Amino acid sequence: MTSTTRAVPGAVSRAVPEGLTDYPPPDRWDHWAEYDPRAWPERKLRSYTLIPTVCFNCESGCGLLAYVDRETLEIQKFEGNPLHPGSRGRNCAKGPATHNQVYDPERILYPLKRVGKRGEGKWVRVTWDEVLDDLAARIRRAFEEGRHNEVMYHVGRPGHEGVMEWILFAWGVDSHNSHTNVCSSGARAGLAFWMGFDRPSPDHANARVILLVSSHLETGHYFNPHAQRIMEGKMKGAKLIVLDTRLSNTASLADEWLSPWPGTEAAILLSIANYLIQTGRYNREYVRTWVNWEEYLKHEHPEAPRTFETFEEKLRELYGRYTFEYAAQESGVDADTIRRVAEYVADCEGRLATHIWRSAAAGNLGGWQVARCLWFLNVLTGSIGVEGGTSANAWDKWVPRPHKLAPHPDRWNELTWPREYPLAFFEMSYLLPHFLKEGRGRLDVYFTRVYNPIWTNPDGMTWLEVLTDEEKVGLHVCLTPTWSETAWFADYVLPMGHAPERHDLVSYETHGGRWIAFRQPVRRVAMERMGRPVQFTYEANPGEVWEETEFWIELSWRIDPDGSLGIRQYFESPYRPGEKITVEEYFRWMFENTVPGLPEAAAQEGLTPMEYMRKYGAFEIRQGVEAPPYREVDPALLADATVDEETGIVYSRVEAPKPLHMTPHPAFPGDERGKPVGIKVGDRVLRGFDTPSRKLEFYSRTLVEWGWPEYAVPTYIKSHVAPEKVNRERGEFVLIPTFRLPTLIHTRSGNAKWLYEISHKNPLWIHPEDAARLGVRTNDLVRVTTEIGYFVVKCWVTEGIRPGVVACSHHMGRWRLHETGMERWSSALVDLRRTGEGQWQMRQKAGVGPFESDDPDSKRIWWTDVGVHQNLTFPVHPDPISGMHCWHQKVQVERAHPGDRYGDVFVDTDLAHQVYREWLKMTRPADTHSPDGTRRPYWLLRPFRPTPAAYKLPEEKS
Amino acid sequence: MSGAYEPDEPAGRLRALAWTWLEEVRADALTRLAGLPALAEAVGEPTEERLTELAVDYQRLFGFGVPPYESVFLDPSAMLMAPATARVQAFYRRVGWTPPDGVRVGAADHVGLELWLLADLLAAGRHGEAGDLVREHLAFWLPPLVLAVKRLAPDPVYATLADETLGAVLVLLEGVKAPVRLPLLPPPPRYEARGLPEPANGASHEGGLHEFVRTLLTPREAGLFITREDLGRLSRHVELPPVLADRRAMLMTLLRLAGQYDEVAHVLQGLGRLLDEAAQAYQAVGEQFPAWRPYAACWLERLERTAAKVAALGDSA
Repeated sequence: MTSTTRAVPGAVSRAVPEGLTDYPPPDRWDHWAEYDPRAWPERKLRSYTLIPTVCFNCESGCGLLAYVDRETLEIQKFEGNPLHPGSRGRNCAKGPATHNQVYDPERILYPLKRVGKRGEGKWVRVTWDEVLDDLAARIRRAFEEGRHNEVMYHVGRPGHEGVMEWILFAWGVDSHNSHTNVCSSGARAGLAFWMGFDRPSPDHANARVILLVSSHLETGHYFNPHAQRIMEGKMKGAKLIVLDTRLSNTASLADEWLSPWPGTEAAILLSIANYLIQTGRYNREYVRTWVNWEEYLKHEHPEAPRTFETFEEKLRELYGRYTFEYAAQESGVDADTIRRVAEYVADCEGRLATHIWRSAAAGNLGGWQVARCLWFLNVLTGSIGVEGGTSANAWDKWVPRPHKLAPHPDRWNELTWPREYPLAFFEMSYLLPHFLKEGRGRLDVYFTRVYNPIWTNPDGMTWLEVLTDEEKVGLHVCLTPTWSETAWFADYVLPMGHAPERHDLVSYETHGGRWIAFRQPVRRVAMERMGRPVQFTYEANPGEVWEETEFWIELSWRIDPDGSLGIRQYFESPYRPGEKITVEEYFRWMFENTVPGLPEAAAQEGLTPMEYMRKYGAFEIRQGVEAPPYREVDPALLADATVDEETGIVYSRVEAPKPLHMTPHPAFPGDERGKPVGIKVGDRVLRGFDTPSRKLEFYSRTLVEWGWPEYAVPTYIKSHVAPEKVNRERGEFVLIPTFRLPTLIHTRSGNAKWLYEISHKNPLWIHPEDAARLGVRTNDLVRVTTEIGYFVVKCWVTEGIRPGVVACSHHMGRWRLHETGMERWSSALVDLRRTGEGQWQMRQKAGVGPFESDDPDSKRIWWTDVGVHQNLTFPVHPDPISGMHCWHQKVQVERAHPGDRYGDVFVDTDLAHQVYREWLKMTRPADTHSPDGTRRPYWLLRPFRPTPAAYKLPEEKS
Repeated sequence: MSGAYEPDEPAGRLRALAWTWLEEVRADALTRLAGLPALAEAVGEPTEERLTELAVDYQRLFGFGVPPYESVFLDPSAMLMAPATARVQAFYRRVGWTPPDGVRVGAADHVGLELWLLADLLAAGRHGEAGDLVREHLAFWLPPLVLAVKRLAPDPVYATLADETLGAVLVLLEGVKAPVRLPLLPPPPRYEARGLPEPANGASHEGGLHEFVRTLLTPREAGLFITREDLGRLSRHVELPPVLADRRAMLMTLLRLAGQYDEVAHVLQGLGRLLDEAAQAYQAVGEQFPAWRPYAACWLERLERTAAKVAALGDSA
């Protein structure tokens, strides 16, 4: 029996059992008392104020509930926030481990400035005032001198929706940079060419078939919210199908595990599509209505009758070669298995939940087509935007618009958006050091934010070379909660808060629904509850640990104190004209004005919207699946509308009201008919998809017009590690370096000892057949040679990987140094020797042999070294279309050489630059392929999109 | 309760010491340290270059080396804001003291704050409470803190600071004769995975290697604070590479690598030497300040237990 407080549509559902509860009832969160477990057997009551916040240890944004001692302000523990619609009170190990991060005595507590040479390791404490004044003066000077592109903000882990749009637009710069092209650009591109949006939002809980090209039960984006719903789906009878070369934890729970040769996933997916097409077991009406088949026929078969039946015939011709046998031959997966999976998909009844993020899309040349082929199955089964199907992220996400947003910048930054990659699906971030080396520009102020490119990116030594060159990077400011290899090469290290030490707003597409959540500095909130307000969050956090939002407000104000640069106006309070906005006011305004339903839900409880979010930490805007493409267009927009007779696209000159949100959407400037607002479907005008055709783009005119006609439709691109490119007889293998370990957080786990205890090594997975051929056993050392160097690692002989393929997790391998404490930092370069021009060697002392153990398995399991840093030995592999770094490597695996030691790494950065140049040759630059003199198709999503004018190539080049 | 004190009075000297623990030496050092000539002399001419040098060392010592918080030394968790911190805060409340505004530290039990309070109590003539603060708090953890700082080979300013502070505090330790015990504090929460059994042929001892490492890195149990630099020195001594990580990961890796490369005995010998040096240092403090001997006994007993564990591990390796 339950009582519920849910009364207002959209309010967070709070069904509270009346008997025993999993969580303290929300109405008692302000004053919660429980016995102190540490005082047992004494029954000592401790009084807490429970404050919701949001985890910051991955991208899922799960809810946390901080137990703050009312007397000492100590955070006793973190539990899940049961009112968070995404995680529903359930957390993985990373959430509670936040406690380790907050109370780690070795954390960075104060802003630091380097003295001596960059990387020398000498630091002094400075005040926030000193930092802000120095940075503001430098940035202001850059702006005054028109050097806007020399100020760059480079983010690793975002998790603060909308803030940087507010800041960087106000600064008038096109200076956002991200980690996305080493993460998810491949999948994004594949999805965006279909539907405009670049992320999937599967409704796992209601699916009949869940098809993952990933390992979502253990890792991957939104894995915790997804994992719980995948299990719900399974419990309701859904079939779980996993394509993963590796036997991941997810694969081990699947009904069908397909272990393809890396890069052949598209062949399998197309064989399933072909089966649906050839047998007619696809949703004809859906495809007829929502696929741009007429456009395809018009351009590719202009002579053929423009009928759906012709299109079906062409489909059969196009995909006829993708038989199960062909897919089996390509992938190595048994044809019967693929057939069985195809049957499941055919029987899904429009409830196919799919997901792909990094995995194959991030590993392979052309990996973006894997995502495109996967989405093809959603299209054919009509499983898009319906219960149990898959939606676009933007339909299930909400980024509220702040009180004042500056116009989009009138600038284009070629250091992040170079002409060679007009279709790249995010900034070409990992090429930045190569661009700087080539003299394409320089950076005057370079912010890295929770970002460790030296360690995370491929080709880290090239990053190191550039970051230590003050001609190329004038000032490096590292905003980080923890030390990292990159922080060591900064000029300022500025400590930013962990999950309970900062304000952020987050919203993610975790399921069929829409929500926002509020990350809060819990000690600050506790102090406010107790009548002890502070001005800045760093006054409540340990030491002087700050939060970014306040930092950016203060910095922006100091850059333009008199308003002469036009920046200050965006940082004036909406409540106190002319005065500086506070962090509280920034969020308060959004909660009051741009979150639908929140003010009403709050009023229902006698709270202001801000009080509501402070109290509950989350707000559910909508439950259930909703797909805007199928909605009718607002009749007001049709008052001055024109219908394009050929395409059915409806244009309107009526100015649409400014949306309340700023969730990224494709953009269409329109023409003399106005902007496209919908499409005629029968006698109705529906909104349609956010694509040029307003339909799902089976056929991409964009790709054709920008020089890639061969990829106009979903197809199978041979990867750079396709089977025929790997000579196994010569000891060549494919290395899969992309998989995560479930409990680690890229480079931020170092001070979370509980997590470190769980995962601490990255052996090379190798199949027994290959191991026998090489004569190696588990724990033996092997040398893995890439195009630019090698690393030495232990192997793990397992049938969890297919023959010819090896795998090594990217979550391991912190650097090995000779010194500790202060010296440990400064001696990094001593251990990291430059052995020749562009040649770097990171190695242990010579003369010691490999480890032999009587009980190697147990030693392996509990080996607590920090692994091997393989990424250093990878050259950049930019996909010419998506821009994604193609992580998979063709490598040579052999027994360790005499003198090799565990963890040895050798890299040649000159070779790395050569490989970069080789891949650059594959591009079809905007200069030579742009159909309209622009740098990039305007409609495609682009973070921090500049004005249309900035898209124009310079005259002399166009 | 805070006020301005004459620099050459005990309270004034303690206040100056407190400042020097709490923040870097400033340009007004000579004025501020007027009552502490040895410290002022160590500072020398406060040129910009000299002050930068000292600021770098301050960050090295207290930013990267030894967190100067009571809970790190006395709490079973060795973390910040632990029950040991709450115990200090309770003392502050008991004497009606609030840390001064504008001093932002990692937690309320920073050594500089405790010294500040001590100065305030002495200045107010509340000698009984000052004695309590020393007996119940500072006397327990100041010597191991000082020991750890001095092992980091600090600039003479910080070596002097450590010595002067030790003297100024322990001289107040009168009338302690009975055996003392470290304050009773609850055990840390054990969320950690207990782990699978260690290899039978390897580091087989009670609790496994994880427990051994935890013990060594928890001053309350080990008897001393082992710094990253200590671990780095140990690694270099046996020619094994230390890792860039927290102390726990560093020691774990060192022991594992030592196992791999047959250096366990040498690593354990190095640890043994560290423990011996600590024992000698505690005995020396006890000789200089006889009233501290009961406290020394606490730490010596722990060192002895730790040494026995190290020896046991050596025997089983």
